Amino acid sequence: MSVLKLSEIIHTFPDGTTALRGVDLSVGPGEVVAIIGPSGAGKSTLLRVINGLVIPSSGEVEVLGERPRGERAWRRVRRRIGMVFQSFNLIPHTSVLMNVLAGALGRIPTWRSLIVAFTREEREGAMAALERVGLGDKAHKRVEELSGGERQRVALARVLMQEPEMVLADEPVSNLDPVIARSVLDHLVRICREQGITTVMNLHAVDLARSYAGRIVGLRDGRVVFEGSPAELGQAELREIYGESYREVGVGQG
Amino acid sequence: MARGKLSTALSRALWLGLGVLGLALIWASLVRTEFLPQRVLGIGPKGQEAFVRLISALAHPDLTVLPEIADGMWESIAMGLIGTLLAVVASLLTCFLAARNLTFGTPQGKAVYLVVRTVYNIVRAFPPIVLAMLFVVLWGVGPLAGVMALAVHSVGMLGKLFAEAIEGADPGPIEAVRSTGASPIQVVAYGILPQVLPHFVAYSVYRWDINIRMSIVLGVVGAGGIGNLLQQYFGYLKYEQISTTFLAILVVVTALDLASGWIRERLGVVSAPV
Ligand SMILES: Nc1ncnc2c1ncn2[C@@H]1O[C@H](COP(=O)(O)OP(=O)(O)OP(=O)(O)O)[C@@H](O)[C@H]1O
Ligand SMILES: [Mg+2]
Repeated sequence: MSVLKLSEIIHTFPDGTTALRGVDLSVGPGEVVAIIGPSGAGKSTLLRVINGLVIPSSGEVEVLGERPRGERAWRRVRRRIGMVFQSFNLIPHTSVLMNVLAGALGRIPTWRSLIVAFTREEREGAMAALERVGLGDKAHKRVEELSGGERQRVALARVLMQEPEMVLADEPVSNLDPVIARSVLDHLVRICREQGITTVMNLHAVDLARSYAGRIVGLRDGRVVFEGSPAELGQAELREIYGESYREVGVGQG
Repeated sequence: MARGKLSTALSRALWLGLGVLGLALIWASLVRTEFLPQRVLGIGPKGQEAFVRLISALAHPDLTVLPEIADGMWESIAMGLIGTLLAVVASLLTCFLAARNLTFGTPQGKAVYLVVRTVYNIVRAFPPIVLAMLFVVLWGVGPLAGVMALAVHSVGMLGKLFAEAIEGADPGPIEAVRSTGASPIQVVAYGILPQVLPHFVAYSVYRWDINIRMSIVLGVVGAGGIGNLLQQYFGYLKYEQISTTFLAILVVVTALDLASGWIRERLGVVSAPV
């Protein structure tokens, strides 16, 4: 059984760039999968194909038991899939709490969100989400007042608010220093594992992929060139993904 | 090498030609505007006398017309306010249709974008005073014509500025809101508005400032406000009353400068747009 099944995904952007050249991928419930690969390999595009932010030129997407067709169908599926981004993508000039509440937009009526009338349960849910990422005391700060690590945890709280069945993370810690990066990933992976949320994340650092993912997918030039457990990812496989000149720094290589 | 020399020679000749053309244009314009020594320095005795009377009248303005002037000034300020408000509302309602990043997804969207942008450009092309003349024909003499003139012209500017602010919005938060399953209206309200609202407010205050200044002039074509009185006073050469009006304009415009500068500073927008 799988909650995500991509078959023969090919995607060419309107300007003629082909980002994906036939990707097959299947992910089981509760799995934590890391996608690694060099810059431009198509990682971000692949992630956006999963929640319909990019509609591939060809191929089948089956996600959470649906095969959405059209924007309306995609919107229904999207509200069940949370997403975090490299540059956090918080709403500027607003409070932390409002950012977390935005996670609920997919399930509340448009008119109610327009007058910013969130129910007591929704506000309490947002507070609870902030508590879970350790930011309970920051609810009424403006996002501009937070550090990078705190901002990404706000984005995590927004995802929690969404009560997702799946989480997509596009290089969630690339803009953070190594120590903060680990603490943010600790939060993300712990929460997803606790709740059995299927997780697909793009990671730029191989050591992070090894320590947080149950399975690693190597993408190169729009194709899957490796798929396996962290233990199966050796020097040869890494060279296959990143090119001949690849040398892993540190992490048990001596 | 030879080709390089030839092209520098060519471009030098081109610049020389452009320079000569520019100078000729300036010369022709000086002549056309009569900016010539004998005209600039040749102010006749009648002109001198009138000017001196006008300047000396500034020392003893006719304060009995103050209520009349205050009322005219209030009318001008009110025109500026309503004209700006109408323009802000109309711009808010239409600017989203004039932003590339929101419309270029579909051919219909592109068409709407082109139509709205073209309307903005057309209405902006006519100065408020020209529109005011047109609207005096429609609504008759009075401030309403002026209000409509300010509103229509301002939509052209504010709509364009608002749309450009939207186009400059960071796509990141927009994508993030979309990824929650939000509807297109929710994406605009939560992903775009918070980003552009400070710009919208700053542009509106700036336009309000301009519109009050413009409303002072519009009375000259019968479109209400203080300009109306000024024209009457000039018609009868009532120097003391003209003087009072000048002083009133000076006070109001200075106060306006201070106020709008203060507001813009508080918004963190120091320099004016455009
Ligand atoms: N909107 C777009 N329009 C055109 N080309 C695009 C677009 N987005 C991505 N591309 C191109 O598609 C290819 C894959 O891009 P993608 O962002 O998916 O790679 P990535 O693996 O995420 O890279 P990075 O590690 O730099 O984030 C690149 O060549 C990129 O230039
Ligand atoms: Mg990327």
